[in-house]
Amino acid sequence: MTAPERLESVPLRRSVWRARLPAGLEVIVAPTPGFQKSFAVMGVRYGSLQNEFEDPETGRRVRVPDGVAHFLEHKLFEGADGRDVSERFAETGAATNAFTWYNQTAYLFSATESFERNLGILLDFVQSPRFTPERVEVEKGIIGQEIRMYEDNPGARGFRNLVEALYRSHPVRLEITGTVETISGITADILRTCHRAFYHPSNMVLVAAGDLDPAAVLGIVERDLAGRAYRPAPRVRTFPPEEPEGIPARHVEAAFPVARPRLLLGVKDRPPGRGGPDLVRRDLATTCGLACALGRSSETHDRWYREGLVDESFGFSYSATPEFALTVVAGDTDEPERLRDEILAAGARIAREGIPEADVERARRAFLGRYLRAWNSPEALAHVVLGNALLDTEATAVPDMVLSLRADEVAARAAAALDPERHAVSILRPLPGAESS
Amino acid sequence: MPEGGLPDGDFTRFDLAPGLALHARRDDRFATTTAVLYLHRPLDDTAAEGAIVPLLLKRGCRSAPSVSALHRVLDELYGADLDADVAKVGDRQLLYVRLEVPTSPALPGAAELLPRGLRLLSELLTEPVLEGDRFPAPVVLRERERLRHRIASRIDDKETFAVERCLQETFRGEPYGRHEWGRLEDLPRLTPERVTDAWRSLVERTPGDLYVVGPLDPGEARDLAAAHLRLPRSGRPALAAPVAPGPREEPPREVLERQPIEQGKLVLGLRSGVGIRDPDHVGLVAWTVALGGSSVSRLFRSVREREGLAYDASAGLDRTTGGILVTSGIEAGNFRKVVDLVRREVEGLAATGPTDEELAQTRKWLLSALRASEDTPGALVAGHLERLVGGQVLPIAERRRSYESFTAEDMRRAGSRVRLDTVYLLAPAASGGPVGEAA
Repeated sequence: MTAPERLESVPLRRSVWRARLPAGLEVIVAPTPGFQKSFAVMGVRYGSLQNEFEDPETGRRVRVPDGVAHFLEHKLFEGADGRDVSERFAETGAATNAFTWYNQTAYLFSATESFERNLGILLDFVQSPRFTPERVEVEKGIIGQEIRMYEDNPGARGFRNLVEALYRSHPVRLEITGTVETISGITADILRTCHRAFYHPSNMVLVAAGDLDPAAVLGIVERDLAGRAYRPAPRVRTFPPEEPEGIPARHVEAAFPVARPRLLLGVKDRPPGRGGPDLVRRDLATTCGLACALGRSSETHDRWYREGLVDESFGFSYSATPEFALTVVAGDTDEPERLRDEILAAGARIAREGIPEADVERARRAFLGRYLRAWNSPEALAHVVLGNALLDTEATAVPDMVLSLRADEVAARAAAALDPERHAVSILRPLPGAESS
Repeated sequence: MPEGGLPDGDFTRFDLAPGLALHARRDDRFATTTAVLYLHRPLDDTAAEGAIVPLLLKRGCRSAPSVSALHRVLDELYGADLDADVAKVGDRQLLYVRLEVPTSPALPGAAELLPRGLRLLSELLTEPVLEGDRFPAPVVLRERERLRHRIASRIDDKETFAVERCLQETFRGEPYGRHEWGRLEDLPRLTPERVTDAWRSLVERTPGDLYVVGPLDPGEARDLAAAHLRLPRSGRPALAAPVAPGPREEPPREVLERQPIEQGKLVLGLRSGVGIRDPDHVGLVAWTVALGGSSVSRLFRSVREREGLAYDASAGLDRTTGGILVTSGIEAGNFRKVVDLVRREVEGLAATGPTDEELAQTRKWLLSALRASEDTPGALVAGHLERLVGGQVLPIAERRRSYESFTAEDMRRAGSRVRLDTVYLLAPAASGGPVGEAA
């Protein structure tokens, strides 16, 4: 039996338990005593970016159609016994779902009874694929409608245009789902190849949260994996394309059936190259810095709000993964060009003047309280823990990182994340004749 | 039970002031305390007046007289979460102000956080930034503009827009069909005088319910609310519970609208007349789950899994009105095929009731959802409020018993009261072509 180690956040007085099993699977249990719901999620370090890799079985370099990771996520729900996996979960009232992102895929369930049985189903369906050519064809119709749904979403469309403006060849430009054209070339054989390459325990993390005993959860997982005879495997070699430094297009616009113009301003930050605490710290410093620069408590935002330049749709985010790092500031506004200039000016001001310690202290406090709130929900907590684990960082280390952020570090990150040299904007404008009146 | 407290489902109820009740629940699992005040007004032609008030309140208050000052206070309270808006439940417009304050003992100064939060909540409601005795004209103009943008921007989210349009059509001529933000044509009436009156009326006379959920005793919540939440109440009787509107004596209508989009957004509106106090209520809840509440439901299995016609096909019940909406994103060319399929599933499930397997799955699903609803302050409050409006508050234990005991016949009987009223399609305009047979 592998014994779990305890990871504690002293400032939050919360702990999680972690172990790495012989086959390489990392298992983390986050106890939330008294909660009815328990939640487990299996994360795979594989997403839409990994579309070119060396097949560990043959040693050959493979390029797969865009959208395979997401297609595979759908198809794993066709269980090995031919029944849809949802039905097995439904027998105990459990619900299951999955999602695919740029560099990860995650499978999850939530249950209020029979946790052990449901965890067994999750472990089983993720590791035992079954692909039939007929079902692969039906799935193309279903995913085709999923793609159409996103095409009608202004946020998704604005973002797509933005990454196409910011990146020349990086696969972050591509739709995670692929397109109707690219998925038409997906076959059961391609799905099998990708599953074999990426769904090895050493490339996955399992997180469970709920009123759970860590040792008991670990025991279930250990017994399951023991029966599957995995051999150790190194991480799959992938071939991310080279992305040049420059910005291919500063400004892109499209007409879209929205009521008001929508601005998305993006800044292509330098990719961190690898995960780990440095990446997470950089992410936290940037997030705090953007909150100080553009957040609801800033004077800058206050003026924009009073003047009607922004409304409640205004927001910003920073995503940092080993492969890319990207700021997005977005909102509906009647004056998108002016808002763009104001956002960049706010960044320039911080580059010149820095951020007062009092502002950073407030941002640290706010972050800490919000982070603590994850413990109000097994589901939210599991996602926080998984997100950090996939970046090779401990979620319990995050509060200390935030408390140790320095004002100069936060200001430098905010300035970089709003660097005018590395920005582009994507604007959606209402169709002619469709402006709100 | 603390002095003056009354059993109230899974909460303890206190009468704080005329027309103002406190519903408190101790829950030591949460790292936060949630305090939310709901003020109930009828959803009528004055909805826009109610809808602009929370926008004005979010502009700040006496001690934090701007958006930035207000959010600095929230940051100080460890990122307390503030939300103020209007919502619709049945035939009511509910104005709410919600504050969730981290109160975990792990945080330095934790004991002071909730009293500070409640004082802020009180100030936001009762001491907004006024000029003389009314909201300043430029601020009202700005927020009126913001409300106008908000209403106009409802077209941006195509799925939600289609749902709202179908709701409007299914309950045409009834308050249930109104939108809680009001109508564009009502905005010119929102003068500083009028919105100031609307605010005063809400705070002073509109029936209100304050919920407090967190790691504190109900008696303690009552004392804190009495000390820090000062509303000048003169009271008014509570509103009557809404009557669930029954099916119409006319065949279903089809409504087709177009926008330049890629995918058709199909929504079917059904009416049952079964409200929360109806003997068929639990049967209808279960029937809707079996029809389209999960990924093992009839609609999901047939429209998505068997036919591959959609990414999603689901059914949702508004428990207060007994209205059901079925939604699916489809190729417009498949319109007739999908509508026929949905109608067959609706009629089939109403005629024969669920299979044994469906009955068991539905029961498990509902029991699980009910247990899960005890895990979040928001769901606890929403569940209580919905039943409060519907006119029958029940403890979760009692609802659990009803979920354990309903039968296939209960589902069939409830389903047989459901009638299709409106078929709504938001169809792609650009690709044109025959959506076809949609009249």
